[in-house]
Amino acid sequence: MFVQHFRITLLVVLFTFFILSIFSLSIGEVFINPLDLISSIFSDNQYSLIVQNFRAPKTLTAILAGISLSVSGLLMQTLFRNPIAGPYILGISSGASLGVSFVIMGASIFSGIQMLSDTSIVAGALLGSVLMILILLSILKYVKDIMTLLIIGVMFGAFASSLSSILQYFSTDFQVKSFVLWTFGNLSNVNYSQLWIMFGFIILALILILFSVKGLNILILGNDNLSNFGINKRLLQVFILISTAILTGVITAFCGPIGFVGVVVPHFARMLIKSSNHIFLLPITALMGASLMLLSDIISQIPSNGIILPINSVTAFIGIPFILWVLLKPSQKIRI
Amino acid sequence: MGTKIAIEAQNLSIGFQQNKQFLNLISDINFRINTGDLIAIVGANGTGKSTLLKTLSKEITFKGTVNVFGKSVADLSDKEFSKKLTSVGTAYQVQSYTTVFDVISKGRSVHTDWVGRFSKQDTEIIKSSATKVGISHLLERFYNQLSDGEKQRTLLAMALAQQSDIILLDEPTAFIDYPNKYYLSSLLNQVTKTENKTVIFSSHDLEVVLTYADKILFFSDKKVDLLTKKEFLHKDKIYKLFDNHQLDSEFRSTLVEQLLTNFKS
Repeated sequence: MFVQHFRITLLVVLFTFFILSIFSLSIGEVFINPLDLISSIFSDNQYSLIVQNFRAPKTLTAILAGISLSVSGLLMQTLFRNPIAGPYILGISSGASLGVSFVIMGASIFSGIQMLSDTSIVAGALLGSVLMILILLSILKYVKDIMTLLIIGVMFGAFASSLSSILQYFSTDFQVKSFVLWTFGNLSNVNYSQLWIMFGFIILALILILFSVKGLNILILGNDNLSNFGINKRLLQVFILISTAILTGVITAFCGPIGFVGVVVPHFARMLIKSSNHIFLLPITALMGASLMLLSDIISQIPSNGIILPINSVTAFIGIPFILWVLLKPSQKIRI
Repeated sequence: MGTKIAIEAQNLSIGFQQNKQFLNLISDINFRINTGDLIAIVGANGTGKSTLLKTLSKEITFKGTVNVFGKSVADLSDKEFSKKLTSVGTAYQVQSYTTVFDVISKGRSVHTDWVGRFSKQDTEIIKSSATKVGISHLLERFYNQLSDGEKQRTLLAMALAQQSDIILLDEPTAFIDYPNKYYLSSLLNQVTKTENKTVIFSSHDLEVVLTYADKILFFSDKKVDLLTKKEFLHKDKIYKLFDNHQLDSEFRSTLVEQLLTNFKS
């Protein structure tokens, strides 16, 4: 019975994902009807240039970002047994922000060089994320209770944010604006070669997650004694942390910090399939995450006339009411 | 089915690791428990019963030696260890949307492949474990919607499904009603006798302990002794269970006398 329910849900989610992907490719300054859209992918017509060079990379970026953020959100909620844990709970986005602050603002303060190329921003964000996760992994062996790691992650995040604020204080208006624009999140700055890099990293993380599925399914018992079930606790924690860091770090580096998708989607997925088994939760979460990002991207283009709303404000606009509902609904049965 | 030493403690010290120091709770613990024995851990609150169970299940650090079927637990991998010994604690905060079947199925985890796929045999074992503890009608229900007693029976079914030779249980009958308490205790007794398993459980319920247990690991005065029921039913021993200054001494003596008369009869 459950398997049948899951199959139907998967089909519905797949169909929604497919429709949203078409919509995401269709809308923009010029609306392209779906038939022209499909022919523009497989043969040359007047829309091929727009679709292949601008819209397809953006849609693919939205899909990869949605998958990565929602899956890492699921991992963090299971690892920390916390319903509002998300991909950024470990302070990875703050690390990335600090890296970007250094590139945009620090470089001119310390050396007078203006380093504002997109590649250097991506490099700065990646370095910041990597640094943050290395710190977390190096202290993991001293941490007895995983909740301590959560607190340390939040504290390091605040520390990185404070350094970033200090850099902003000494920066020019232009630099601060560049930094703020980066924090808005952006799906349209990624080219095909960068997409391949993102794709490679995401596949690597997903392989690590596949090896962690059994352990994740034991973690839902809410008991710390994993060796009782033949699971190596430390190895599982390392796998989960590294895969979360890869997924979150890569997306933050290329698209900026995009909030709420990672917190909201795992809840939707659990409610929809009514199961906590990660074998079923992971594909549904990934597809729903991709769909939500596509929806946010579509909504961000509603104002038209070339105005595109910051993706981060759209995801928050959709995400916050849901989080409030999760926390305040009278029949609170969600225990993560 | 011959009798073997299932679990053995040699010069064992139990306690807690604080920073780099090991804080001793009880030291020099020595005992040998045979296969097919149902052992009850008895002692007042705070004497170290749960600490011993956590030590035997490798959950916390210890000093000395614990052997399981002649092999030091330090030398066994997590997987090897969990095939020999399983432990059910009291603190489980199971995630929403987890069914009773899901919870029991965790017991099969150690027998499944790297992603945890179940064979037909695994599913059969999960169902028969549920039937043994009388919850086969609850398999589709969500764990968080169960009563405390049903939750405890689910966890017991999970332990049975793991098919380890040794099962450790922390107060398995604590929230269970009278008929089920006796049913489950007799089930544990039956598991030890028919399947030659070793079950070690902690309990404050002397009726259950004295009706079903073969031997008693008695905690008192920072010592652990493995006693027969006859050795345990001694005034000094029972008196130690009531060693609480908040109780009036005369009332305490009357209680102990009453208990001894009841149990001896």
